[in-house]
Amino acid sequence: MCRVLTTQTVCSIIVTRPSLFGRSSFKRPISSTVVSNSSELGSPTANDARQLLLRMNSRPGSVLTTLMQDNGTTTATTISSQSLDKYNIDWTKKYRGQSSLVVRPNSTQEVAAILRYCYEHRLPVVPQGGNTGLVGGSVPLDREIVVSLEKMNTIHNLQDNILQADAGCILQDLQDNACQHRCLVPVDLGAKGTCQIGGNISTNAGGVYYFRYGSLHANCLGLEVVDGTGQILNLSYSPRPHLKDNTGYDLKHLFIGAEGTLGIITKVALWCPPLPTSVGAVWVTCSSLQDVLGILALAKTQYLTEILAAFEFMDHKVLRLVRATHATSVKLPVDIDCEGNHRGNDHAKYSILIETHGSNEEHDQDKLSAFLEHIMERNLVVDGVVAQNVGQVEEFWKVRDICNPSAAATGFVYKYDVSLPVDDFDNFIAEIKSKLNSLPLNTQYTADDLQCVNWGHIIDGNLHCNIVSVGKFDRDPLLTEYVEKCILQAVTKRNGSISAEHGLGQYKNKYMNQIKDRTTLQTMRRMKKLFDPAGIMNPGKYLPNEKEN
Amino acid sequence: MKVLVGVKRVVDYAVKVQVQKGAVNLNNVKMSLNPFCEIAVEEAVRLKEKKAADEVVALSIGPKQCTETLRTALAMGCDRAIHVTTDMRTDYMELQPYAIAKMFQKIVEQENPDLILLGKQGIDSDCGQTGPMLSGFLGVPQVTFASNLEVDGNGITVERETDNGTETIKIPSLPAVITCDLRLNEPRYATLPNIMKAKKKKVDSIKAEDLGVDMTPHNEVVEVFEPPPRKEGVMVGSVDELLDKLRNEAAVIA
Ligand SMILES: Cc1cc2nc3c(=O)[nH]c(=O)nc-3n(C[C@H](O)[C@H](O)[C@H](O)COP(=O)(O)OP(=O)(O)OC[C@H]3O[C@@H](n4cnc5c(N)ncnc54)[C@H](O)[C@@H]3O)c2cc1C
Repeated sequence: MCRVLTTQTVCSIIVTRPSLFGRSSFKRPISSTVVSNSSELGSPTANDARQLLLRMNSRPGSVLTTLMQDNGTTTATTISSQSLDKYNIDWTKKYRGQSSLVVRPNSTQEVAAILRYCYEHRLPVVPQGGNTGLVGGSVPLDREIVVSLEKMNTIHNLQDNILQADAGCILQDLQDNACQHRCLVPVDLGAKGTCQIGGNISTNAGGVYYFRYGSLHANCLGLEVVDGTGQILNLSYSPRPHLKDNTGYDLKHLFIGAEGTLGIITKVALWCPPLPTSVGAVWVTCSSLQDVLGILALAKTQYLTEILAAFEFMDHKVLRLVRATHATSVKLPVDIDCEGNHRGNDHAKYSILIETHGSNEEHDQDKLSAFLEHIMERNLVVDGVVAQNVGQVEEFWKVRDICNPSAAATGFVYKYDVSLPVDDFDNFIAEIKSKLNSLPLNTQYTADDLQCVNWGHIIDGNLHCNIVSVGKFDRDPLLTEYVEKCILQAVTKRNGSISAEHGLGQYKNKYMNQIKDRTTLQTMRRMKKLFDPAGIMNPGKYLPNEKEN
Repeated sequence: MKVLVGVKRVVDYAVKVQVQKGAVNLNNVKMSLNPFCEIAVEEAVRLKEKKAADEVVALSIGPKQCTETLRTALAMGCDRAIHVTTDMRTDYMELQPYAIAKMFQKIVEQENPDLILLGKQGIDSDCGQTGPMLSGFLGVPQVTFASNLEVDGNGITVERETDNGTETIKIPSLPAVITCDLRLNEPRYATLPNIMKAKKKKVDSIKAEDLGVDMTPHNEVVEVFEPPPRKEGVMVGSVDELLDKLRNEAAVIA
């Protein structure tokens, strides 16, 4: 019924890529520089590992470490550093930490015990969900302790459209469960098979249904969290979350999008609207972004309005990468090289995927049909197909979801996630492309080595602009510096945002000084101190280094 | 050559069906073209594109919403459609394969097609009986479970899937009934221009009662129930534990 039935295997994509790291800065010794706000943080020792294991009731597998000699009496916790790679390396493989201690609690009490210990001993902590974040927020900068939520994955309740679950539940498992209760989890994204709801909340993930169902700030009704001192806070979570609750400062909102810098989210209450009983999808191609915007406006304001659920755009450059890297596993719904029938020799350059949600199939089909007729009459489309069953809807989404992995399989991806007025998408992309044609001489690349591929949630004004160095899987520092400067300029001059939905992590926090005023940043820092007085929570990320302020 | 192709409207295969009051609940449930009929439509349209067929007629029996299902077939390339209207359920609960095959026979007698292409079964009742019964009523050859189909002079050579492998059968002359299996082809998407064209194609509608066929079910459905939920799997902690379980619990390895 709903496309959340799809099985997404992001993990399998992760392992097929050659490894590529080696930012020298990651090898710094810890206590000196990594932790910007509290210089007195230390690195965990074998004794810390032992103490944490005790707090996990010595449960086998609750602590993974290379610090302890396994004396064979307690548990099989001592493992090779290689098997900690899963926790030290992120999805993009751009970021690598050196943690030698991973703790996997299975209750809120255990999370509290860990954070209390780390607070008392001034040990830095990185909360980790599915490790699919795209800004290096979920892996250590150096030797921080990783607290993985993967063992906390119980779904507690779904009643009156309110889902209550542990933060470590995989998004897709929640979707499947909600689907059986005829409810829809109002967030969906390509990493659903791996990412966790706690990670989604912590990054305030957007995804494809943002426009229709609203942000996680709107849909998250309650949280249970543990702050940076080990205190458990019940933020409208129990005894029962409500749709409306105006009692006191709504602190849960601070944890939504905080990227693990205030504490650890342990439980989540989510508003899940009724599952749409009528789902439709169309895939159309256009010869210009102007036409894409024309179709968007008509869909949004005139023809599909209340049944419009998702509106995604992809350029055909990325779809060529999809075709090249996933030829056997996905089938493109349309011929992306086809020439326009309507406008002489115009080629189709963009694809749009539109999904509708409603409760009355006849009604929705009538609307969709009038819409399609209109955009065809207006010559806005080159070609298109309409899903005739749920399987075809899923096939369309599979292509959209594979854009990210396809770029990653092609080369190193210089990845940008920006908010812009939609009218600026075209000139923004043109500006970036022209900058790539005048690369500084000292980079190892020429414009021919790079491909600029674009897709995104255009209905939210959210563009994913990706520059791929084809066949080269290492990051070029000079190119990074150049491209980032170009992007920052191009975004700020259009009053855009340099992070629409992926967050800041260790990747974009440095720009905060340029985009936020001093007073605002200072207030953010004071606010963080309130929840995390020792600065142990995900240090060196999210907020910029204080000294650079 | 004229081809008649069967188009059944069934609960979409991605939908998890629910049983209510002794029958599968069809209320507010996504319905689509039966996947095996979709393959039959695709094959018929390919015969037309290869110039082996000159007309493809789609036939559906069921409620008024069957016209939507027929529109899918028309958008895929069928030339026109016939809708036999009835409000009886077509998922074995009311109308059963015997009556459906009888109605098909009536339409075949009117239309005189050379080839009748059907799905090997409807995914609602999984009977697989309509094709064989129809060929019996018509007294014409049949091949079930077709996985390849080649027009060959006046006849057709068909490969069919069996439990032991592939069987090749040559039908020397038409008419014939062929039912289609999964590997016969990969159905196309309905393109926008073809969906628009399909709107203008003719759909004749005939009341089921007017065909003069006995529609009463011959078999009684005793019980309809959902399959028991699958037992939850267990996570094993190590390879050793897995081996132990396979050896001592499941006893599948020595
Ligand atoms: C293929 C792909 C497609 C994507 N598509 C989208 C998209 O459409 N929209 C979008 O917004 N994002 C998208 N993303 C990025 C998105 O941020 C993540 O996929 C997801 O939200 C992160 O969840 P996670 O469980 O993997 O978190 P992680 O990556 O493990 O962590 C992300 C951050 O949250 C913190 N964190 C994790 N769990 C907790 C917790 N329980 N308590 C406190 N802090 C925690 C971590 O410390 C880190 O800072 C995509 C990523 C991929 C790989």
